[in-house]
Amino acid sequence: MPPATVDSVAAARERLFGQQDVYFAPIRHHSPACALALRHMLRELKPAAVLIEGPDDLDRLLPLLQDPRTKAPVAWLCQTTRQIPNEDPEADEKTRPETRTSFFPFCEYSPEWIAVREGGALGAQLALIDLAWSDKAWQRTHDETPDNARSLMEERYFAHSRYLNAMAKRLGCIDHHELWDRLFELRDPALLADWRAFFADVFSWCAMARLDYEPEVLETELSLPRERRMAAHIRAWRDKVTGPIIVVSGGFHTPELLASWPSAKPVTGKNKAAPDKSAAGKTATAGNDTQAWLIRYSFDRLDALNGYASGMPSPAYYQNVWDQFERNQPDPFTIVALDSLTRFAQHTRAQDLTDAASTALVQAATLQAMRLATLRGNAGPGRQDVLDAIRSCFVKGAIDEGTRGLTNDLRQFLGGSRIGDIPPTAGSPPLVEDARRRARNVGMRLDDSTPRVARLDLYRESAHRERSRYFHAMAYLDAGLATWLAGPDFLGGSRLNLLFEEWRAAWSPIVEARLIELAADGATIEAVCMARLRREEEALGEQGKARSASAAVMLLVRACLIGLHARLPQLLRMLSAHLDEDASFASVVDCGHRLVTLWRGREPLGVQQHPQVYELLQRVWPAALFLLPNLALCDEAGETDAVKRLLSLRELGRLLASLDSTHTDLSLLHAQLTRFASHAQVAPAVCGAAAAMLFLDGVWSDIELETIVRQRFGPGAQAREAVRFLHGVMTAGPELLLRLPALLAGMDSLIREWDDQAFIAHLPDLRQTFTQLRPQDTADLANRVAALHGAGEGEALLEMHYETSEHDLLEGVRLQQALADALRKDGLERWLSGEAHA
Amino acid sequence: MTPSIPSQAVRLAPEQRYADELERLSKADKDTRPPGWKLSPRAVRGFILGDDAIKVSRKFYGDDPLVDRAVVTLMGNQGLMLVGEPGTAKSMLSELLAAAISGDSGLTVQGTAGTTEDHIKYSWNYALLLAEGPSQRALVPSPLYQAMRAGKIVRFEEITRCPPEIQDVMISLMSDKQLMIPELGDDARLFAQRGFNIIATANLRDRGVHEMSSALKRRFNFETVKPIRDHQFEVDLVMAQVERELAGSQTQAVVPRDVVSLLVTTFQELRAGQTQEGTAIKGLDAVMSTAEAVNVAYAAALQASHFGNGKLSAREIASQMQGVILKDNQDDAKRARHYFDTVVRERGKRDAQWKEFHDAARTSWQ
Repeated sequence: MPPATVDSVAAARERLFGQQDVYFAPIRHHSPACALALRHMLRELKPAAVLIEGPDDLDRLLPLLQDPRTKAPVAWLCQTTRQIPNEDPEADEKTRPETRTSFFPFCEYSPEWIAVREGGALGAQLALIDLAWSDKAWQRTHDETPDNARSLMEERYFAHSRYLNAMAKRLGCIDHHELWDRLFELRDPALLADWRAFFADVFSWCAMARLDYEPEVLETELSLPRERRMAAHIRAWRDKVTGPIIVVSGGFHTPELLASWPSAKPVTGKNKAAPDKSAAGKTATAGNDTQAWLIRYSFDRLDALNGYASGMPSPAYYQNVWDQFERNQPDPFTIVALDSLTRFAQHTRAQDLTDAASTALVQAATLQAMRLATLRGNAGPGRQDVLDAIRSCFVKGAIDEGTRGLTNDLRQFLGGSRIGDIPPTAGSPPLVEDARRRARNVGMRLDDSTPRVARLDLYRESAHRERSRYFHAMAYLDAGLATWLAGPDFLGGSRLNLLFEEWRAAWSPIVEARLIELAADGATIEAVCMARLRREEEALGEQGKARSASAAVMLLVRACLIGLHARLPQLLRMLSAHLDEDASFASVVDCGHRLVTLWRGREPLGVQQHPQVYELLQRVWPAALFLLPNLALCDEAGETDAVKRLLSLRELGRLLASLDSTHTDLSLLHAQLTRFASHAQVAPAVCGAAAAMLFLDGVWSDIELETIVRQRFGPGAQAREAVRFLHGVMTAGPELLLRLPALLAGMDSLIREWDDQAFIAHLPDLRQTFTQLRPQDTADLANRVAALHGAGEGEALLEMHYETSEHDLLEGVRLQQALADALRKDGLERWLSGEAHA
Repeated sequence: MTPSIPSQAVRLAPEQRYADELERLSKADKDTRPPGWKLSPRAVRGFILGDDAIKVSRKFYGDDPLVDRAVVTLMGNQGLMLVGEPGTAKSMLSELLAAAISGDSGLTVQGTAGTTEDHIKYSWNYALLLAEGPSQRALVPSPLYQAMRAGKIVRFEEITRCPPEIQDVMISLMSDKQLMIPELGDDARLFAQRGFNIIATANLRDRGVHEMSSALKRRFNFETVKPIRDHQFEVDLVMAQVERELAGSQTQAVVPRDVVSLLVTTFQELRAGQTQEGTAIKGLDAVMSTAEAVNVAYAAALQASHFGNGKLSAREIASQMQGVILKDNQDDAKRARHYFDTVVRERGKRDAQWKEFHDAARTSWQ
């Protein structure tokens, strides 16, 4: 550390308090010690104004923070959307919307919270002085993902400071968090009344951290522009009011603010970016659409957000410390350590973990934590001491993969899951209120963000059905409320036999944030879902599926799942129209299958009272049959698909017949199949499949099938077409080759005609065809082919050369080599290449 | 038994080797010392992690909070159990702790499959026992007995190698902190003096080790000692150790840093089952500890000095590595060969050092 720097820091410390009656409070975000010191400072100075590092376009949100009904943790959620050029050249729209979201969280022990609450109570004017958020949001162009939520209280400077890292190493601290704890958090709370000494130390710490940064870096990552803005605000406020002014800002910025504010050009009404006129909760600047709300926040979100922006971790732990501060407890850290250890031990016991901690262990761990604190010179056991004590005493074995569960539990435990509350006047968008109302109606807890698993009885409990629809709706909106774990999948048509549905669901701030994003679409969940559904309907048209019955029925099922039953008549009408117009056989058959699914699940899906569904079911069959003849025209490439669809149609016929045999006339299908089978122009595979299906359905007898097989495999038959025919037969009924000797004989005689070249040409297709057989069938077939050629059962197939071992083979190669060498020696190389004959 | 003459001993106990450092620490130590301790906890920490102010060298690297926890554990009623892969300096750490706290790292029970209850508690001088009957004079105290009597730290090495019934002798000893000696009369017992505690080292995964009962586990605080991950740092460590051993054996050999770096890279990759570039490879079952790396480097340096040109090269490293890798597992040889054929060979295309390593390995390994 150059002495000059040390001196300049010392000189700056002198100017920290009271220069032109401006007092700086350099803080670390979410630090109980800073909060407590700030409270002492506020009460002593009784400032005329308190200026807080926060976007100056959010001033209007300050009164909400002061509302007594507001309970921390809460956050300001800022969202801005702008139109950016669309990268996809084929899209119709020239631009697409891009949204950025940020959080500005507060908990009870945040210095900013204290500044607003206490400052307001003392009658000080409050103001936010940082760059407007909407200006800031888009300047981070280099940022990873655009829709990424981030914290507005970043403190990554500390994590990267070489000076702080060296200091942490020197004091044996794991990281800068522990270093901070040791130097600042773990001070005797009584000493914090001397806020001058405390903030001066914080100032030095931050000034040292700042040394590692070049001005250019600070300029590009916006620190300097922000500081200029803050300095300008301070100047303006100094000119405006008399009496002490307190500036609460991240300590990293204080050195620059301290140096530049006296000479800064004050912010005037003109260059103030966002006037506070629009009280409705909307601040629009050119091209941008920016909104901000006070929302409920939670400890686990705060912990996660701090995870990468390196605020203080473990909010529940520090909340506990703060509570002790508030109660003026003499030895707060020991109380918190004991409390944390006891409750964590209870937690392990309640979870019935294998390494559940006994009371004796808690005792040992508490002693351990206190002794560690003494050894490390802390005023009391800090967070790291408690973590170390748990590690020493609770884990009986090696720290490895097996203990990861405990480590996660511990992190969650110290993180906590408390959710704050906001006054009804906070004006959260009606959509959020609607979602909360419905969540309450279906019995969800709104004050806890721990995910719970719900098992819903779809068939017997109407309340469960309600809840399922709510979850489905929220999942459809991608709101992060509920995750589907298990149950019948009505959209995919699988696992329909399941009676229960399982969800993991929790109400969390992220749900509210997501809903706020969606707020533009409507005021209720239903409306937003409807809007989305309608967009999907429209999108169908754009994707060229405007008349697709299959896609329409998907929408129908979706609407049922999420409880949009009001929309059903319209969807049913649309489906009905599509069914008439749809020209795609595949889509109609698909639609039929889905309708069957819908009908079977009519009870949980709530479509019993819609007779149209049943009517549609009856109409699907004739509609499909109407399109069926088109299959005959498919080309060779489309054959495999055509056969599959044919089989799917047959399956649909069976399903429909089982539901309602009077309206499903299978004979119509058979008539069409007979036409397929007997017409020479029909694609051979379709013809084969049709013949096989007719035989399997008992419409044709052996003789009829044999006749057609003979036609297809008889002398003069084209090999290519015969193979395709065989493929069709095998796909429809793989066992036929074994059951019908005529088929096998026909195939055999056909293949016997082929020369090697023809055989090799058709081999791939044959191979593919025979994959339909099970291994047992393949063996059977092989035996039969062998028998056809006069070999006894099993005999011909065993002509494998098992007796030749690898050794023999190598011996042979060696002999060959020796022979070649001998020939070469005799000058007879030509014999080897076979030229000798020539 | 007379103690061997220190200057001729292969290896000195830490309290002898660092006698002057302990002396300085003791002088500078102003903090209160727990009863029975020769130094305060902070001075113990300083002895192990180093203290530049009074020229105390750092002796244990990598995990400072672990040392804090270990020192604090020894102040309490729980014993300290050091676990971890072989060769992670568990025993060294336990010696250092014992030397700093009790000034004596020699009270050691060396656990084996043949350890009996007598080794842990006490046995008898049978000539005296027959002549005088059971008496204090005829009793031969175990290291544990001595430690209890003197209020010192006793070390129990490789506790999991002892059969479970022998391990369990420790259970009541550790909770009662007293030892019954029924042979010397009804109420003959030895009370542990303050300052007594146990440091056990254990291997939880090696072959031939026994499970520990949960009753015994409860009486210990566990600390997991991990291998060193930092490459530069491990190179420094190996360099320093090898040079010290070479000086000790009065051998002249040049040990180039890049050769040691190559060795450490190889060890770290085979240990972690991952190359520096992040490709997953098959790790070895054999112990690839830092201590083994020192052994390989030292042996290779001796080879270079006595049979080569006196300068350690990748050639000697390659031939000495065989001894580490080829222990009992045939698969290890295959995996190592695969490593040489792929990773080392690929690097050999760009780097002469690695090429030499690869060539030497090919001749001595196939």
